[in-house]
Amino acid sequence: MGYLTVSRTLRNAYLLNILALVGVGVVMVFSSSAIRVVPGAEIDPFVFIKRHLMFVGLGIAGMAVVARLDYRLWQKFAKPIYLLGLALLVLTLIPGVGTEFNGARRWLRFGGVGIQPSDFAKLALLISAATYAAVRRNELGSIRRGFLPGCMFVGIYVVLTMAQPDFGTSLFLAASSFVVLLAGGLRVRHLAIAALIVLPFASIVMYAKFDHIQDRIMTFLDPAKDPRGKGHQVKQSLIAIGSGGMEGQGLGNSMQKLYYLPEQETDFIFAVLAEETGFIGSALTLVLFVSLMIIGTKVAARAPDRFGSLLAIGITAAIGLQAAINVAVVTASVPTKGIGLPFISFGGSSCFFYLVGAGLVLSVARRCVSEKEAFALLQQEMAGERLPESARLSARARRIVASS
Amino acid sequence: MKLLFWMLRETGGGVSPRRSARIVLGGVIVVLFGLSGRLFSLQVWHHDDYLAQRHANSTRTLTLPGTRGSIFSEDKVCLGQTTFSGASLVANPRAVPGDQRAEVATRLASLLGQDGDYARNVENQLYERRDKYYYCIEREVAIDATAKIDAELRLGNLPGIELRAIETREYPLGNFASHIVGFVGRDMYGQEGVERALESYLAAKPGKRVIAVDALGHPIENIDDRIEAAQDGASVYLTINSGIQAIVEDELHSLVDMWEPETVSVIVMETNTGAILGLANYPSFNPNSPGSDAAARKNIAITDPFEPGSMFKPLIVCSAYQRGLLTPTSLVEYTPELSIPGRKKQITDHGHEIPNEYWVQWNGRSCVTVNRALVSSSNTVMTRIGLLLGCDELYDSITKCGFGRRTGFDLGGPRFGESAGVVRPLDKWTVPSSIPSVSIGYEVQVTPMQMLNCFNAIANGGHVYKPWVIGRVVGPDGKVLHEGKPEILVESGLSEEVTRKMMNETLKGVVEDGTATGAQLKQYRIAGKTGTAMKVKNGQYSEDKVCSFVGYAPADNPVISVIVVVNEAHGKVLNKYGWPIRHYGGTVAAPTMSRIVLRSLKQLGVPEDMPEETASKD
Repeated sequence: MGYLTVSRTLRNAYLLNILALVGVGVVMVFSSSAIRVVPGAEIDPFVFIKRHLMFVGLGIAGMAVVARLDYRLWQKFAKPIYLLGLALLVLTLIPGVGTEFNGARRWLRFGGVGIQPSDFAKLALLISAATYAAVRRNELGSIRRGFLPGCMFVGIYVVLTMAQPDFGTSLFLAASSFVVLLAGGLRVRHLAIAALIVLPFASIVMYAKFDHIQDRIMTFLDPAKDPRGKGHQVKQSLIAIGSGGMEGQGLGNSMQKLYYLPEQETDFIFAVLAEETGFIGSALTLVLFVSLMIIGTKVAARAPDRFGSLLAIGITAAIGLQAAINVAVVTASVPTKGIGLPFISFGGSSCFFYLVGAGLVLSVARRCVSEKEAFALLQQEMAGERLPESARLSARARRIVASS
Repeated sequence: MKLLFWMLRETGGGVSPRRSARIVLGGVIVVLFGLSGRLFSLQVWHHDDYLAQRHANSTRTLTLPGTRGSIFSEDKVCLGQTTFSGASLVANPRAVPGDQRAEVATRLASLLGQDGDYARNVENQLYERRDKYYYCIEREVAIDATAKIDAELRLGNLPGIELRAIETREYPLGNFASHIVGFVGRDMYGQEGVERALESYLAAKPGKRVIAVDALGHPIENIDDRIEAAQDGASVYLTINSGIQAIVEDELHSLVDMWEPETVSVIVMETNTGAILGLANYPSFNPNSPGSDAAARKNIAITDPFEPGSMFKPLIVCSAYQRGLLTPTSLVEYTPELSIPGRKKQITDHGHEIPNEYWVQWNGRSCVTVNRALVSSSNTVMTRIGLLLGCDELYDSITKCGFGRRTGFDLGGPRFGESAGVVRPLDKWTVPSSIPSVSIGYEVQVTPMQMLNCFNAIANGGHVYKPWVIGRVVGPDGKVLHEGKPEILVESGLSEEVTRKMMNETLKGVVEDGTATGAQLKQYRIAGKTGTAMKVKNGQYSEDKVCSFVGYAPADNPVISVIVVVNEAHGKVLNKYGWPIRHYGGTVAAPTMSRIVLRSLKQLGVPEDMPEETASKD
């Protein structure tokens, strides 16, 4: 623990922030799922919270391990990781291996535990994108050597996810990885032109091909049209949020979770949270996400190298984007899309991989040096003291020290 | 903006693509702030709106049934009551989990002793109604099956299934007074009789319970549980005396067995109030299972008018007395036949001519007293009296006795099909025919209730009451909500002198040595009048008759008035010489009436009014 002197505040703040979100998640998963006890049917009211706690425990363990490892390890293993993600996505699509649920193949089952490979794919793609952007830092600005290959390896994941079909996740994969590439030096102009060419075409194909996307857009435009069907969930969600008021109905007192609101412990958990804790609780939860993003951005800014910075940006963007999309869906601000709330929704693999992702950010944060700290390090070095390993590794610190 | 500025400031390298990534991140943060604005709008500005929606969504109003009021006779014998007995089997299909439908259905089938087809049927119904909250599986479950199902329910083996007590309207005495009591439909809504007339009093005011339920319809305890208690219906006490009603029904049955009539109506009325003490009709029905025979359910005592025939005659005579034209001893010329110029049919006393010994020769003509003419029910004399009165007087006295209008009976009125009878307006009367016809009780139609009501006026000194049967309505808290009391329908204009002295003597004579000697009693003196009217069938008077007797007793101090109307008796009854007894009011109706009088007066404890005479006769 000798080198904890560096960036301890930032790291602790990030860790606390993550744990706060996980804590909110545990409470809300328990509150919204325990009621799933049908009289006469032998269902353990703790079945959901037990599984959630198991995944949270695994996730925190994973986070602790990853945080201690040097994040540049992942840069070395980027290719295998990318290929592993690819293999899992392909496996999911094979009938008999992938489990079909609600008309989509999204799951792989190992024993009794279901895993969504797309959760792993999110992290794998972020690592790959960060590696790509770090390695090709000087070529990203060119279309042929930077932009097109980047589009290519992101596109493979996107297409495979879309084939499940999981339109929401594929869009999310594209968005979060392009944030990383943009941060690495990809030109906005190129992306904008590509988007202008592809998006109208793609959206027409999407709209025509997938009925449920049509339904969801129609429902969004006029929720009252079919209140018992597709519009039901959105309507019930709004009722849940709206009836929360300023102070909420009190923990455990949600009415809407009593089977009125479908998916109340997964995608729509935020509605239950809003109903039980009111505007105060729901706004505070959003504040937790915002502060997580700010700290994540700071980590990225202070990261000692380009890969670490891009990795932190990618993971921060992914968490923030997913939270924003989820809350927007739950508040009926955008059409319905099956996407969970990071750290809070029940959902084994998603929670696990987000915690691992947070571990990566922590690992970067360990090696962060701020200007003030760099200055202090300089003074220490000049005084002939032995610097912590992390400080010595920090290219940014060197640069700061050198420039001063 | 300050935040964005701060973040941009942190970008060490100042590379432009990095800035774009940060703008994306900053954008996400802005979106999250925007969403918190959206949350504020939903949760704080529109809170009340959504709270109301949540309330509408998740509360159900349960109806708490109250108990319908009971119906009692005047002497507190229960004639109709509501009981909760047995159980029906209902399901809340929403609360039956989809994977347990088959299991629940199979279990129910075996508990009910049914086979696999039944189970499959129940399963299908549960599936088809899976979005519904209510499905009645069995309207009534046998008692042993109820116990078994109850046990399984307690074990929690039948999710979404429920046993509910069945509300039954019970008429413990069956046919007893059924035309008065009436009955209720399946929805517990009164269909006939008191049940219908007093629906608003008898019906319970259901209570309400607002409960919160989950989306499957399970009630959630301790949330939003407001109760508004049900209010039981009021109890009704009739003026019907169960003893007299029993006597009436008993005698009616004997009469039906003996004479095999089409229909019979018997009414017993309290002379001085107009209260109905007993009323029975044949055919009748059992209100526990009213069936679909509308004819049997009809209260013919008020719905079916008939031509009264001779029963009408005392009214004509009273009118003549009242106007001072005649006294009981006035002499009227008597001929057994009377031809009216312009009238095809002669008026005759064929078959019941007044015997010679009563004839008085005066000025070369044969005359009889008015008293004797009525006792012998002479048609020719009545025609002469009718002609003496004239049509205006006749019409006036008929309408003043309540004919041609509804009686004001509290179970009557148009909605109970009460008939007003038929009294032609004066301008429809035909000149040679109407006065003779009306004088002998034809060309008018009256209901048994109207006829009795008119006779009751003669018995009580001229007051035509509204018949009434609803004595008291007592609320569940013991408060009297309605108290029946005698009401005058119309004043007949007949004086005490005419009715109680002049007519009373004559009507006593009818029973003593007139057409109704079969009604004589040793214990009580009865005053009454027979009626034997031919019925019109296919436009002609046929052999079928309405035999009736109306009267009151004890004659000198009347307590009850009774009418017996027997329509189309078919039974052949032989007299002691082996000859069939002919069907007249005096032979068919009068004996029944007298037995009813005897037993009812005994029931009421009225002292006998001619004990010495009885002793001397014996």
